[in-house]
Amino acid sequence: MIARVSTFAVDGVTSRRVWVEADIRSKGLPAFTVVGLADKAVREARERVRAALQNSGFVFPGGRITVNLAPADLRKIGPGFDLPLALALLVAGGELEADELAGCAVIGELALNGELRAVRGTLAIAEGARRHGLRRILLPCGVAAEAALVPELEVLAAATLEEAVDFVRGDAEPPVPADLAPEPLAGAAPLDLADVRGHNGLIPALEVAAAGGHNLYLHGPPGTGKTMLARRLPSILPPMTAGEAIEVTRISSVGGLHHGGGLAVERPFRAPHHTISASGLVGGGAHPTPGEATLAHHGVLFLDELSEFARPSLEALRQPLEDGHVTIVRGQKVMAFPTRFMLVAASNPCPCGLGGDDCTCSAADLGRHHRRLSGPLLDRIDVLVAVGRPAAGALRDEQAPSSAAVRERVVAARERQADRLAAHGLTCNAQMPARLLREHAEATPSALRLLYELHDRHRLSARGHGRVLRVARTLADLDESSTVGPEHITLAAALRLEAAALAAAA
Amino acid sequence: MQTPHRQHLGRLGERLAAAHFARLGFSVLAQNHHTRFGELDLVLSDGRTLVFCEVKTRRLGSGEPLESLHGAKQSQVRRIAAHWLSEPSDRPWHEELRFDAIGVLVDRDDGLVRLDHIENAF
Repeated sequence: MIARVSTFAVDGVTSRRVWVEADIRSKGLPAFTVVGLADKAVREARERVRAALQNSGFVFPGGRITVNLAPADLRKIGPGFDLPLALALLVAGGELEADELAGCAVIGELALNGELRAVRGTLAIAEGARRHGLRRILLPCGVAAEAALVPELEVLAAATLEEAVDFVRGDAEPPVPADLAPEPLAGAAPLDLADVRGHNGLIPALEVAAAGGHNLYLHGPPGTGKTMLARRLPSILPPMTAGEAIEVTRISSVGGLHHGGGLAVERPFRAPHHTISASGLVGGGAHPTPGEATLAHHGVLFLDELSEFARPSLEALRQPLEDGHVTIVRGQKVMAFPTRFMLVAASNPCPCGLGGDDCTCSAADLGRHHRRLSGPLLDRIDVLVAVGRPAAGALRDEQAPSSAAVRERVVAARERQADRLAAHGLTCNAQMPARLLREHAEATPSALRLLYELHDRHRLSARGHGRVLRVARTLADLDESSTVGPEHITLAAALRLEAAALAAAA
Repeated sequence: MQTPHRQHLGRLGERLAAAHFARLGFSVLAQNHHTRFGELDLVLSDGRTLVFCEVKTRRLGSGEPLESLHGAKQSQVRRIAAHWLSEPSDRPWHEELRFDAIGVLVDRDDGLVRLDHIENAF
């Protein structure tokens, strides 16, 4: 008897349909073979499935069992094929009717006692099921709330293999997925800008960066609050739209970061250690998996101690920063991952960290430090902030405005941008290509004159020119002004030219 | 090594298997033939076909006999068979060569419950 069960394999940040075909022949030596380009975890499924079936009170079919995972050219990875495999064996063994599984996607890892364990990428899989016109999806109850985000898809959330079989047979009613969502993890209290003391002068720069989605560079001596400021950036970014939240949920689920509840509500904040490799940062591996840049999609990618990152890692960030996606080519496989993140980099002024007159670094150290920072990466950073040592009095008395207040202004500015850019499928000024920038910047004649003057005097690159105009556009949005005036250009240039000066100094 | 108890069970299964082959018209060429690689349970012939047979015996309630005839054991039997064939004694010529498996299930009083014979098992 032959059986066929529909399941899905995570492929990048989407999913592809996979058929689990099982054939049992009574003739021949007892054997259990899995074919179809399966990796180690899938071949080990044999032992898990055998134990889980027997411990759940089912008969493990005797005879010669051959399981095929089709399409045979797609590499099958991970333990998510356990449950479809077990059900295929039950159908092939005659314990389950084949039509009861028609139109149903099945996914889940099995424990030896028959319990179902959560799998990665549930949202991508549920979306795949919907795309292929399947009506139902059977999965572990730990990830049911995630699958329930997909409309018009019946979610059968089972805790054990036995329960799964009951739901498929229609002997029991599956629970409502929304009730199964785990309590949000009781993490640390959200960080608030109001915790920051003595840096009130820097808040407007953070506000501009958040309002326009501009990349931000903080530099200053150690211990002055660069990391503290960066970590609070997500708290002033506008809340995610429904579409963004779905994307973030899908990616964090594929990356194994999602706790299995419903929609992600907070923008991701990723702060990889500076020893990260290029493929860890932008994605890679023999079967390309998303890197930190993709996990930070629609959120913040924070590179602390920027000068300590390996050169190849930083260079690899150039395409993602510019295009909003990264294309990974490995062997026969080409994969594109979204990477629309806001880059926040922090660095000491020099390797010893003291900077200025106290610096004890050698000239060679300084040269290496600046070479790391300089060049094309810094050219893609719009807002540069020097974080200095606050005065003792300010440290005691000066409190930054609360995140909520700043966020309100940011949201208002983003709304103005969205009105302007929605027709082009963009959400903030930082994403505008040059053509749209010319169309939408609407600089006043005096502002343009000022810009050309800056161009001649400070040898701005063509890209730098566009970046100044882009930040100026954000400043105008924060001012609720429809045109970019000279004051906006001056401010934008001040936030930008320091970066150019730093690059020139290197 | 093997306990007398298990050895007894194995010999019982082999006797039952040999009797089964006798009913099919085969004669035993060798039984429990030792080589440096291990042991051949049964070597049989009906004049045309040479059969190397691996016999697995289990008592009722301790699992399926043939389940333990895994890949490594199969290749071991093949290796021993090759060794047997290349021994310098006078081996009769056969048109065909076959590897069979026999699973014997017996109850507590050594009574035969079931005998599965798989021709061309591996």
